[in-house]
Amino acid sequence: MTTMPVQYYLLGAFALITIGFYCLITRRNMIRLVIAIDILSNAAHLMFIVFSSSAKPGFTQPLAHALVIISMAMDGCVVAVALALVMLAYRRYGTRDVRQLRKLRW
Amino acid sequence: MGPLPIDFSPPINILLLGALATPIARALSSRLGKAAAQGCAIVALILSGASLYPLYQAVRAGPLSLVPADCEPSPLAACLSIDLMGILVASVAILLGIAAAVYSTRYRESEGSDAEYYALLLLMVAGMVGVGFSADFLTFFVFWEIMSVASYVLVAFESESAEPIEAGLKYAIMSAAGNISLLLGIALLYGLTGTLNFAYIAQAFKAEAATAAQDIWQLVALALILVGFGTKAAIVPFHTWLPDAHPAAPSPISAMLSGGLIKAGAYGLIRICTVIFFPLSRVWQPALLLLALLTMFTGNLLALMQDDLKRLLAFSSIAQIGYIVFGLATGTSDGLTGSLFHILNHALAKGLLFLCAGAFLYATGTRRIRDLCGMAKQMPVLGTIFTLGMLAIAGLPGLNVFMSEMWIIRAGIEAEQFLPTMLLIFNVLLSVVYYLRTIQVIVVGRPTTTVAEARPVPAAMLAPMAVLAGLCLVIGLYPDPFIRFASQAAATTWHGSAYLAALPTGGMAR
Amino acid sequence: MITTVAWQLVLLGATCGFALLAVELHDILHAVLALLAMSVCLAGLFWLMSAPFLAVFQLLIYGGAIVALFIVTVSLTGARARSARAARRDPVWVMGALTCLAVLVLVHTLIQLRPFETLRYALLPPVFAEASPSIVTQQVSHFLWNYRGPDLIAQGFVALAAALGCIALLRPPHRRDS
Repeated sequence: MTTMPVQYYLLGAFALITIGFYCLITRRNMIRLVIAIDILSNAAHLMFIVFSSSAKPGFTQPLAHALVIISMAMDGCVVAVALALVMLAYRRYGTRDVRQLRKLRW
Repeated sequence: MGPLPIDFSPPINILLLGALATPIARALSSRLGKAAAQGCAIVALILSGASLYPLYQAVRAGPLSLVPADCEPSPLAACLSIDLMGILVASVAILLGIAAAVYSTRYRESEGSDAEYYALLLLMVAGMVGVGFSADFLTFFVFWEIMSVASYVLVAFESESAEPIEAGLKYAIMSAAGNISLLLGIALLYGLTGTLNFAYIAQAFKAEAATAAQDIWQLVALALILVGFGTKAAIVPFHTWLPDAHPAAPSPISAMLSGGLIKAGAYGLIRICTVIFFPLSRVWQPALLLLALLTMFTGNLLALMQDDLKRLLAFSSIAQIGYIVFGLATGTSDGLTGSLFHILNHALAKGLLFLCAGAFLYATGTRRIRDLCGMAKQMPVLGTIFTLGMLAIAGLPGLNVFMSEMWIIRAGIEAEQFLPTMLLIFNVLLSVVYYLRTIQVIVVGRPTTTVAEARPVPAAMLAPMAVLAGLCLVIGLYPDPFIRFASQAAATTWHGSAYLAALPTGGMAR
Repeated sequence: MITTVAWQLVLLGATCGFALLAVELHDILHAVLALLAMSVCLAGLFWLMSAPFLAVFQLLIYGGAIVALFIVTVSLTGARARSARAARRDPVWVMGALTCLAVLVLVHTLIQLRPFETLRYALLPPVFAEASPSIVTQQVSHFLWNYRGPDLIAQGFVALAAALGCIALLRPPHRRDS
């Protein structure tokens, strides 16, 4: 199967990265921050697969596949722990706005 | 290389098996006794520390590498490569782990024996040791994530009050973003070289070292990896999670964070910059120098304004990481020796100080320095240990941190960077101000009512602190064996030469 | 018949579009559904790039487990109960959008200046597997177990840490009188 040149994929992956970091920096809802982490890790996985299958047409490299499989599972664990923390924060503070968590200042 | 098909080295094996066994021991605690989980965890930590010594003897000759048993050595296999710097990081992690575990047995006794706490502590230590031992980006990243996920939960562990949850959530989000940035940098390196093994990537870059600085993609990868490690090592401007996480975490975990986790970030930075990005030295040395100076100033200036003891210690940790990165940025082997020695010394001293702060909290229920006035008069032993730790980290000659700071300053002068070295010396002197001020309040002041009603600190909490204080004293008075250890570790890492020479058979045909 | 290259372009554009929706949609549940759609598009992209194992994993983990976790969290935190308030027009989003565009233009010029050559520095010939689905699946699983065994076992411990962590965090408050 032919693939697009790597350059388009790189542009797409960097677009996903900028969307992810933009969300992380400017959004206030705690759950949206975890969505941003998700988008960022999807961008990283996309980059790995692109590099593995664009090196030689008709062939692909299994090292990247192994890494992405392992990284997907780990990202699932991180999202689980982050969402548990979000639920606890909602119970303690009563708000889903991360800028309202202000008990620790200076 | 052992009879097992999958074998991490003995320390990691024992720690991981201990982490599995601790919840089982808790479940069987009706038959094994009430403290089964804690006993299991402490035994696992001591055994893995004991197994580190034969490894050290084996590694002095040259790095040891471990690959999965039934595959031929190749740049694609999962690879652990144990060298002296890895042994240094591992020994720091396990030593602090033992101190934290013994301390926690009494510190957390009101919470009940939480098997999850000890299991997560074991996993965090296993992650740190694995990070020190890995030689392949995927193995490194997996152990990095074990360490990170365990620490997200441990920071937020006292989940009944609000501050730990807030600190834990902010830390988790920032650290996860940093880890993804690291993964992106690894992706770019993989795209450029087709392999994930440190040694092979280093060789690939070295072969074309002349044109390295013009390759924009290497620079982008370097920047992303720097962001990733910088978030974990609390380098300014990625340090904002640290001053919230340290006061909110349970004190033994604060000691592990400050002594182990941010050191693992600094270790990662050292390993990647000296082994893989060595041809780009002229790019990352000035950048790291600038970041180190920024970090030092931020840490010291903000620490001057703190009233909360643990927050003051947290900002002091940020400044000390600045010293470690400064040693790396000088670009000499002496600087690297100073950085590695400082990793060891600061971990001991800061771990001791956080455990003392925890003891103060246990005794009086407060972390505010003003309320702890005159604590040393009420509890002389604790006061002496605390003063020793504070003097150590202020850089008193005769205690350990002084020696490592001298090495870093010497390396700065050797590298002919006089203005940065002057700024470093200024920072060290600035930090003495707030250390001495804290000692004055706690030792010399008149005891307040909170102090007068303090409850006594049990021996199980005093013992690890006394051991760490004793080590600070010993290393300070007799530093030569440790400096030799650190300089051997630095020499094998510099240029990555011994690392590359230990490549399993497929050495380069070029 | 649309060629695979055109499909890949469409899917890549859809991925970026759904990601933008996931960030911008006001209702959190709709944002999570946009995330699900993004994961499905990525799974399609992985399939077209001869990584069928990965497409399945992507659908299972991202499209299954993680979206389920999100929906549970959204319902437990009552995120939809609030009525829609006036959409805030923060000035931040203008600056944010401009910065994103600037970064993208920068990356585009970077790519024009110095195109990314995959495996430019590869010294040893890398291992390759043929790209047809059945062979790739078999080769990847062989590779994963033989060459990467330690990483798989270590990754199990990340799952252990997350499981122990969630148990410890979400436990009901400790009774002091026990």
